[in-house]
Amino acid sequence: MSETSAAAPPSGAVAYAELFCRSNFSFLQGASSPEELVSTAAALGYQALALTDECSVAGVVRAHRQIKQQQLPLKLIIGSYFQLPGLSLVLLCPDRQAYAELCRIITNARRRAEKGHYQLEEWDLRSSKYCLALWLPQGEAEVDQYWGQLLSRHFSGRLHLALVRQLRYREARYLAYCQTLAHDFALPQLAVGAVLMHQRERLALQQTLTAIRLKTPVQQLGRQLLSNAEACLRPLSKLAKLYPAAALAQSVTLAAACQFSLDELRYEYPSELVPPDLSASQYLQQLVQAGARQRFGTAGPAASIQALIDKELALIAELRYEYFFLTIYDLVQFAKARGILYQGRGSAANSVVCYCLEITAVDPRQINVLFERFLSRERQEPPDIDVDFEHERREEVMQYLYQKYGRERAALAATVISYRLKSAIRDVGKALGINEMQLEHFIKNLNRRHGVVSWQQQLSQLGLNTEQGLGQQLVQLVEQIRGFPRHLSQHVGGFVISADLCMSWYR
Amino acid sequence: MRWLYLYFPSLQLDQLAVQYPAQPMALACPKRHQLLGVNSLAAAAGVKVGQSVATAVLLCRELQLFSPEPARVKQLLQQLAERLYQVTADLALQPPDALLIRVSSMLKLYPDPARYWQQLQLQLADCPYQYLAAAGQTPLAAKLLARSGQTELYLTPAAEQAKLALCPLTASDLPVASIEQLARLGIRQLGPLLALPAAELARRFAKDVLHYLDALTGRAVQLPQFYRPRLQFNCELQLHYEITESPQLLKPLQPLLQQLQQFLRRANLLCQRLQLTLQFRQHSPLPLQIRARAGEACASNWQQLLALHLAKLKLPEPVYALQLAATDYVPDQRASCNLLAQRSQPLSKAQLLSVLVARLGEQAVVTPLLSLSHWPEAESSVSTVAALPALNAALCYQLRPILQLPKALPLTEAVTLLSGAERLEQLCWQSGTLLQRDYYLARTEQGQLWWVYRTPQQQWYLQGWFS
Repeated sequence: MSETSAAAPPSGAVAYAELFCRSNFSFLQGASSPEELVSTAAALGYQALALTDECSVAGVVRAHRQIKQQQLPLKLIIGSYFQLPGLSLVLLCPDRQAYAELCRIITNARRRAEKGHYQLEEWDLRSSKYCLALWLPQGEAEVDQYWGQLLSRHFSGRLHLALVRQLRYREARYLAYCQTLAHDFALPQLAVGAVLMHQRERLALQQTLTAIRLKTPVQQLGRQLLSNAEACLRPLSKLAKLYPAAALAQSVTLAAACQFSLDELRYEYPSELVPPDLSASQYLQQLVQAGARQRFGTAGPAASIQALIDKELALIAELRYEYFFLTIYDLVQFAKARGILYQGRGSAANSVVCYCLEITAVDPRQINVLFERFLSRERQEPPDIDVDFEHERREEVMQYLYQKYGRERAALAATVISYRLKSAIRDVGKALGINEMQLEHFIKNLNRRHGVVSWQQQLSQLGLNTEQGLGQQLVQLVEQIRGFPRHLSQHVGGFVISADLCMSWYR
Repeated sequence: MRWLYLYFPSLQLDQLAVQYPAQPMALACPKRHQLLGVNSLAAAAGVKVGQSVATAVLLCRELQLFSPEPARVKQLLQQLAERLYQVTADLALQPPDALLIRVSSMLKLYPDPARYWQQLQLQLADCPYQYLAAAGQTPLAAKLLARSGQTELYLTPAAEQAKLALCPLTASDLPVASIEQLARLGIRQLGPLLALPAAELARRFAKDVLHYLDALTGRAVQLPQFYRPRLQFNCELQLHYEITESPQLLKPLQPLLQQLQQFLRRANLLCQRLQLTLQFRQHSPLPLQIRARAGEACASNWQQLLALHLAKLKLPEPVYALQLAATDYVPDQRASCNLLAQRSQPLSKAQLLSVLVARLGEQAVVTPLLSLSHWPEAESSVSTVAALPALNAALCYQLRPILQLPKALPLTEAVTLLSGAERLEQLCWQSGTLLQRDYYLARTEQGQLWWVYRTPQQQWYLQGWFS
């Protein structure tokens, strides 16, 4: 089933779409992965799920892939959650323009602050034209009046008031207050879950993540922790008891208005690489021919090699990867002209085209090249061409990219740093208030090279009681947190080059 | 000699040795798991500085490991400085493990340096700390000699220079990178380094090296920040006659309290705690603690509190001497009182508490206390007033019954639910399940407000009463 066509609810059952849900890509807040969230939402019979990580869309691809792979009857909506003093807001993408706008807002907000933080400004909200907004009032009349007026003005017809019911202290009073606000500003109300976990058993992990984020042992956090596990994906029958039917129905209506899917996106290559009077395919063919003469002598390549070249070029043309090859070609030509040492490696060595374009130096006459290892019709993804540059002069190559495409169209790629065993033991241990010296002792003495004794058994041998108390908690939580994204970092050499502005990719 | 450097190589371990006299002990770096110091018992078992914790424990199973406590060590240094301040003026703390004393200024009082050194040793005589002392023309020279183990005190300048020349550079304060750089050139002692021309040094090494050598040889003088004694009020009074009834002690205490008042007013301070120590001929001294929660400077107010304490005190034998010490000072930031206001003002809350504690004793005055937890059983507790932490205003924002049952009772009475539910959950780690309760504000038929909860099994319990 397509991602955008969710199953209709059984007759008589409540229909609901969760429009405010944070995954573990809201670092150290969300306690479930995007995959877990979409799988559970589909199992519970939700119509749609909006993945709205805080000032980020980093988790949406995983959710999208999970839905595709598992063929889940769930619609994925892309959005993001933002906070300003006195304001909590969720922005959702109904279409591709809204997605570009959301990416622009996130980029601007991130660029204003230190790494790992963001700073949203009123200007971002005033300039929004396409995104849908869910407003979560703070409960302070003066502040809410201010933001209510501002949002009503700039999100006219696109603003909803989100009702959160999590059985918290004085919730009835808060809901009554929200209804008054909705009436004052003539806003439709809809139900949201403010989800942080896919199931309630993740409460302990969520509290541990909070302790790690606040750098305080969990025992000392008290009321800064969640008081209950209601911030999870809840069954429809329970939601029907908690929310007015109209608010639930409104969530489905709004979800139906969100038609954007990641399937609409495709990488758009920079076009200036190709001379104006030639197509990309023709230009690549010219370059390969010229390269072939240089590589194989003026007589040209042997018939078998020429056949390989023709086969590769045909497949490249069919899959429309000409620009990809031309981009790499341009880069290595620059390196060659500057005398920067470089070498293509890996599966690209199986391509005669790469050899002709001087990306690799493996002569196909000397080895049996297997082009399918490099590029095949079945894989449906661009080939992986690894080019190593002389590390002292890598910066020159980067500056060339910035110079050629402009700083607005070229960007260093980010990479997600995830919890590994030792970092998980260190952070979870500290969050549980275990002595730091003891934790370092465990970490230093864990032997991961021989898989005979599990790490849990090794901890036990090192003197930790893993059967009860803190030791048991540590083991359980470390198992859960392993693989969780911890923060974003800079990729060692990844670069993104786009046809349009980076901050509104995929337009 | 002009400067004296007292080096305490194992301050923390020496202090721990008082508590654990026959225990092999070591200080270990929590991050690197390496030993930073060992005591003599551990050293006898083959444990050495720099060994890994695992090796050390294998060598000596009884070895007790401690983490370095810089704050504690600094406190010990402070105490040592306080002792030495009785006989010498210009001394400076050199954390983490040394004291520096300017001797030249003291030689006016002690013409004989040997006599002066004897006085210093006397002050340190009953301390359990090992120390090395060295004298030098500059603070850095004295330090380098002490850390190199050259502990002769009465050297001529020429002899001192000769000793300094033999000191290893590893004992100096030079940057590690510079020491390694010099070692590669074959220079491992100070003598060859001093022999190099300054211009050459400046060209080849970081400027830190030149600065250090200038300070060491006295070409550039840097005075340390000298120790200033802490502000303390402590006075003793030998009674002309022995007192057998405790209330009679108030009379001789009056001049002491007047002195205290003058002392506090001069320093613009308030005192929160007085310690009155009564001395007896046979019986061991009896200390009495008197607290004023908000701080107090006025002699008459202190006298009232003392009177309450002394009224219930039975003396084991006649008192022949008193000692009054003030501790826990706070700045006097009270708003000015109205000059024309009536004298008989009601007691403030803090004053009332002080009077109650003085009258009934610290353990008799308790107050309910809200803690940080969501979970009701852990939310409310009772604390003595003396141990009352500063109340966090943010804690009080939730409507909770201040009087909660230590263990909830089954609800047996019909109630009307007024508000709720507020769901509270706590993870039970043993079983891996969540304990769940839905709390409601309820009213009984008699109009009382109760805080009740319902379990997932639909059982109702009473948690507490609202006033």
